[in-house]
Amino acid sequence: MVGRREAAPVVVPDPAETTEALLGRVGRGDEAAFELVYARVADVVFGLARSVLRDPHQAEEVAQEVLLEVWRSAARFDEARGSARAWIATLTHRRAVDRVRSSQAARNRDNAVASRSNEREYDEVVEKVERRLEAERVRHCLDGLTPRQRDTVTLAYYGGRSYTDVADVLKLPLGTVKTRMRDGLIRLRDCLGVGSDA
Amino acid sequence: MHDLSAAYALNALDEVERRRFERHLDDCPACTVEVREFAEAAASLAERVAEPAPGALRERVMADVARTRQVPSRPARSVRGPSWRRALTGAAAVLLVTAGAALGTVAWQQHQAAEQAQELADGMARVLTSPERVEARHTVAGGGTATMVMAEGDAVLSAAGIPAAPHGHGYQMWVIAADGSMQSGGMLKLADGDGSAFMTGVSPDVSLALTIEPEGGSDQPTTEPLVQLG
Ligand SMILES: [Zn+2]
Repeated sequence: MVGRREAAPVVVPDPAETTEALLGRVGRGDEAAFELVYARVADVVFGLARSVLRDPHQAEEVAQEVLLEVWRSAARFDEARGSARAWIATLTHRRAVDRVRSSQAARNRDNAVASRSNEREYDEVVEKVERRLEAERVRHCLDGLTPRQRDTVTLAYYGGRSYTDVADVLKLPLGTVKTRMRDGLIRLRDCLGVGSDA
Repeated sequence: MHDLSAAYALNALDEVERRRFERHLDDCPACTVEVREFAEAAASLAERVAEPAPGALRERVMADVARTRQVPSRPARSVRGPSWRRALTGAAAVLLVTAGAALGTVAWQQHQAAEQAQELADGMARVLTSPERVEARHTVAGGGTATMVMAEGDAVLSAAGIPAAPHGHGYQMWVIAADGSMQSGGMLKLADGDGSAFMTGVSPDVSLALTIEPEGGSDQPTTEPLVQLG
């Protein structure tokens, strides 16, 4: 090893470079690679945060935190444990949900009112989701779920609800919700063909 | 615990359950694989709600990036004594390792145990997701089911809903060669009646069996197999 730094090679962006490979470069401090990652994922990060939080300002704050986290911990991303898209979606969803739950905990909820508005929120979530579900594959796969499986999965994921909340909203026993969530996700996984080796 | 992997992947567990399930993931390769797959499915759901991020966001993020120090990658794995993984693949005989169980008498450091669990999880993930995998499932006499999945010389044996063995006894795994000879695969570690083991160097014509044996295990089975797979 030479003690002197060599000039950084000029890296021409390759549109075919996988996001996983780009993250490898980001992990070594490559800001240009990060800009490419940003261009690929920012819309998903923002859209998912907005789906869970509804408020665009809060969604933007969460998106900013998540994208910075991608920069900060890119070196810890391990392709063997899942794809870049899954890693980033997980970071985003986790952070958005944490934000929603902490603000919910701070609120003192009136049960009767909460239950009514839960149903309205639920309708909004489903509507918003259905409006946006354009890609045929996911739509097709969601169609393959029973309506009850679909309700539990979308309410939990797009609505950022805990399964106890979902049980509350849908007036179902906890065990039933757990089972539907699991069966729904298994069916979705199999339909999408997204095994961990994908 | 196993039935919470979907709720976990959807972030639908509360804080306490989430942490409890994460501890479970440390010793449950089956759930680890499932959570990974569910995370991929969830990412597809995420892509469907993409919407244009505000233009100002990019500038703010890039400004943050310019002044934020990155987390270094995990330190390179230190060279340790005999690599259990290499020892296993190198051995002519079939060996089974119960997930999470320490190997031999070596007192593994915490991080080595974690690494070991990770390597086990990766091995299991390889088998459970291999397109060439062959599966066999059977009910276990006395209750529960056992599943064997084999691929490319590796195999995973999982048991679910198995009743507790009589006091001072446990479930021992056996590898039965084509000529009928039986070799111990070690004790199957169960938690709440569920457990998995990973084995390597398995020839495709063997079958696997479970018997109840005294806690330390027997050289040859002393009871009738409760289940035989393959
Ligand atoms: Zn499990």
